Amino acid sequence: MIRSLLIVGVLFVYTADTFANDGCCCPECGTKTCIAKPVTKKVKKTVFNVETKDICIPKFRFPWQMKKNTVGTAGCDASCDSSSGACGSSECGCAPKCGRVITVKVLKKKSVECEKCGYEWEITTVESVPCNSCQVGFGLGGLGLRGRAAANCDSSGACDSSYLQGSNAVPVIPIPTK
Amino acid sequence: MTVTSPLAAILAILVGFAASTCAQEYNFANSINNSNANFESFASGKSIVDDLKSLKETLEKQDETIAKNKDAISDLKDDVKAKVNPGSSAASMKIAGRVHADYWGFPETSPGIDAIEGGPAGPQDRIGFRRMRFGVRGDVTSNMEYRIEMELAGGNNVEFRDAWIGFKELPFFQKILIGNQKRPYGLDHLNSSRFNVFLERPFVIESFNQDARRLGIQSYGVSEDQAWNWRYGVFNQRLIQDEGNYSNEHLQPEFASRLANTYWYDEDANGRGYGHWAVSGTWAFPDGSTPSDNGKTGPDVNEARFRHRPEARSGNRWIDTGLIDGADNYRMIGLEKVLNFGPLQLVGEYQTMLVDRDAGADNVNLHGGYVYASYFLTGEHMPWERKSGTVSRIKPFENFFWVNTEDGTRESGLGAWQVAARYSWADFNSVGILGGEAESVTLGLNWYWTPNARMQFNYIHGTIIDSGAIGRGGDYDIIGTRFMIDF
Repeated sequence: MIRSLLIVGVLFVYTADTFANDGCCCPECGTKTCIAKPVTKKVKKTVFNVETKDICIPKFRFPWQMKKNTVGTAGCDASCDSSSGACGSSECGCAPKCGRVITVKVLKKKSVECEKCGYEWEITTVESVPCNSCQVGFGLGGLGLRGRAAANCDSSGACDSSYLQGSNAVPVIPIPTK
Repeated sequence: MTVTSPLAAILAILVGFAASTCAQEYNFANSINNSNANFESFASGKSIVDDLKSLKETLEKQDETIAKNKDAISDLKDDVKAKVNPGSSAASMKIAGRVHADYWGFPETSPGIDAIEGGPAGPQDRIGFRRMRFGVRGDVTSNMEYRIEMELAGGNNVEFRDAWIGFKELPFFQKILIGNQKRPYGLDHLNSSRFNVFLERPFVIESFNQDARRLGIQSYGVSEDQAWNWRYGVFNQRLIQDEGNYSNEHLQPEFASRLANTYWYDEDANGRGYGHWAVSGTWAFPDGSTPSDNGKTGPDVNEARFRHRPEARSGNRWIDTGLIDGADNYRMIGLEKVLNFGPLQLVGEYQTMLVDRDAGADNVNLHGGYVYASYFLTGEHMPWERKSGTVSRIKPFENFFWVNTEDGTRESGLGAWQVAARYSWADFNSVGILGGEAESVTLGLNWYWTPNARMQFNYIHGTIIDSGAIGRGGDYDIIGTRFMIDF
């Protein structure tokens, strides 16, 4: 039972690795590949800030304090003076009493751009020499025992960047030419 | 050649020189600037070629910017196309909606209440949507308007609510709406459910104006100083928002009106102080004059029936007059009073109804009222709409929020907090009609998150007496919670 599981596991790892690497690790000369270039991307993010502001809560006036020309009438206090224009000959009734000030928080939302590292794919053509075709073979690539490595692969199994035109990238995905 | 010829030539040269000087002044100045720039470039070790390269780069960047802007404009055009627009260029359209999600619990009910609710198990707790409305409104040409609003909370039973067309800026009538609209009595019914202080409307207000809206034609007016407003119209008593249309022998007309006066409104204090009174009434002609009309089905079912739940969402109506046999017409008059002192508001209404019945049957008198006080612990006030004589949208000084801020701190806002208490009663027992007597006290707590969203909590303790039969009734306790948003 355990042996069967091990065999299934090894086969699974091999299959997954084979599909992931699409066979040969390096492209042939003259083919197009796309390489990943490390870039700094800008992403939009919503952030919140809280500001404070003072607001006025006005005092209301009773109906008798709002009557026109109310100088000297009951309900109007000393602030109601015709000379000041607050009351008396004005059309506004008694001047309202002072209001109350409270400080409230105001939520502000804004968009900011953050930097994030990532890759952009760039299509390029393999032109450098020597260009060797991939060797056809089988192996346990997932276990680091790849038997299909081309000559232009480095020791880590990745492509030797010198074989790519203007390339300084690491991952390589071959694109079959039509 | 004469002597004048050299002079003319000299003059011509001078004029030409002057013109040339004027024309070249700009170029000369530019050339000096360029020379200075070239000198500076030379002094700094840069060449004109470098400048040109720099200029080229700048132009390329500008090209990129222009290309991006073109894309942005294209996207914007797509966005505008994707927006909902009215079908006619002569019409405007605003979309509005509301969602009210409720929980109701019945922690304590007496056996008599359980019987009214339909079984020994009594009223069952419930959770669901009280309202889920979506609609549009707008203007058509310069003096017409429209509104359509659908009610989706009924699941498969979709109904409509406001559905009318109207004329505004009319001489004498000011505004006339034709269609399904609220009948003009009962302040608590005229107030939108978005702004009502309590979860459900008082006994008498809902009973005398059940579901409020009817098909009719109504005029709305307001005085220039907004101190007075009025509305009056004629309606068919038969509900149409659930059926969509009437069939034969449906007409049970009623005439209704309301006159309201905002006699005190301190505009300088942002309307934090105001006083209002109103009188409203209806004269209705239900189809209850012959026994055959009192069948409970059909288009001509007697509309002289007044009922309500316990100011909460129960399965059955706990006060219910049933169809009042022989109802020939009924007249109702209502009085309203509102006083607002900053965060404190006092409201009261009373309505009384006299149902005239055919010979041989005694006339029926039904009546009820309510008073309530509400107070904002956080200092806001209940805004007042003088044009309609109703309460308006409540705006918290500080919205409720709870966020992580950009600098990593955690901040919160309080929202607006309001407490309220209401006493409500109704007496629907009269000369053989046992609709029940109801009395209740409701305590409310409202937490306004924003002007458009809030949470409400109500605790209700009430009593029902002789509802449907002598001795049928009891006491009850109910709790209700609502989450609501509107847009």
